This record gives sequence, C-alpha cells and structure tokens, in this order.
Amino acid sequence: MRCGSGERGQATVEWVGLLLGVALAFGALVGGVRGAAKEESATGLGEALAQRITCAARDGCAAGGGERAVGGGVRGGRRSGVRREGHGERHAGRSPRSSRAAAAPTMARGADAAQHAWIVCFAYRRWRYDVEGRRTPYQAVPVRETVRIVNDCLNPWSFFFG
Amino acid sequence: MRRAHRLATAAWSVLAAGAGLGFIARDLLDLPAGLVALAWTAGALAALALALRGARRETSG
Repeated sequence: MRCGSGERGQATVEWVGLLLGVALAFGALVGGVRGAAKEESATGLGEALAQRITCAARDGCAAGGGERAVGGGVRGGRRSGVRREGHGERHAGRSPRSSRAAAAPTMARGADAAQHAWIVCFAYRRWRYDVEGRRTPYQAVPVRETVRIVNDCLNPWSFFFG
Repeated sequence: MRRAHRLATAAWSVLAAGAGLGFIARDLLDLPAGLVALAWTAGALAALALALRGARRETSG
C-alpha cells in the first residue's frame, strides 16, 4: 500500500486523539469520585465509582444520587453548597484549633497536587525525548527508553542518587 | 482486606507524592541533587502524615 501525502502524519493524529480520549476519561473518573477518595475508605471509592457508572447508565443521579453523593459525588452537596454551609458554621467562632483545621484542606490539596505530578513527569520526559530528536516521527519509542522514563519518574533511588 | 487496601493506598500516596515533588525539584526547577532528595522526602512525609491522619480519623470516628 502506497502512503500518499494526504496520509502523512495520520498516525500522530490518531495517537493524539487517543491520548485526549484517555485523558478525558481519566479526568471524568477523577472528578466523579474525588470526594470519595478523600473522605472515604478505599472500598468507598469502589462503591462511589460503581454508583457513578450505574447512575450514568440509568440517567437517574440528579434526584436520588445527590443524597448519597455528599461524600463522593459531583452532583451532591459539594457542588450545591450543602457541605460548604456546614463547614462555615463549624468555623464561625475561630479558635487556633479551628484555623489549623481550616489550613488542613489547603495542605491536603497541595499534597493531592504533588501526588499527581508524577504523571506530568512522564509527559515531560517523553517530550524531552522527542525534542532531543533521537527518533524519526514514524519510529516507536524503544521499550528500553520507556522503562528508563518510568524508572526516572517513579524510582526513589533516581531522586536520591540519580 | 480493608487494611491491605488502606496500606496499599498509603504506600502509593507516599511514593507518588515523593515522586511528584522530586520531579518538580529536579526537572522543572533544576535544583541540585541534595535539594531534590530533600524535596522527595518532604513530599513523602507529607503524604505519610495525611495518610496517618486519615487512618486515625477512621479508627476514632
């Protein structure tokens, strides 16, 4: 099969589309069960995920799901402000202890962001590999190089002695 | 099983937070090796503290 000029770069476009699709799905997943991940146990996360999927399939989350989703849903009290009102009441009379409690979510958010930065590391290293021009556009990244990227991004040893 | 889940989540959180801060320090800020190690440790300790606090809250409440 002859590859015409109109098909040039087709693989790249497909890969970018696939990547965007996966990123979208992952973002929806994270957004949907974020509350459950923070405030409930690991089994709660599974339950919330299953609930989101069944709700989406039945299209019935808006009315009944809100109650359950206070701890773990997008459409629950978190967005509608129910949770925030309760939070405000709790911190109405500020004591040193309550200000420490108010700072805790900020710290948790920072730790949450740090926990997700390792994914960016993969993208960054992959981009650096492309910029360095060690392969042609049609060449796949060698397995060895992929393993090296994963190792550089996740292995604690590489941060301490690498 | 529940405890194993919690333990695995905590272990992954520590590793991921350390890797996250380490990446920021090493690749984005281009800090020297000692500071990169310090950033990794700080991230891991912060995640560990959060995991411990979550576990304590779960057992008390």
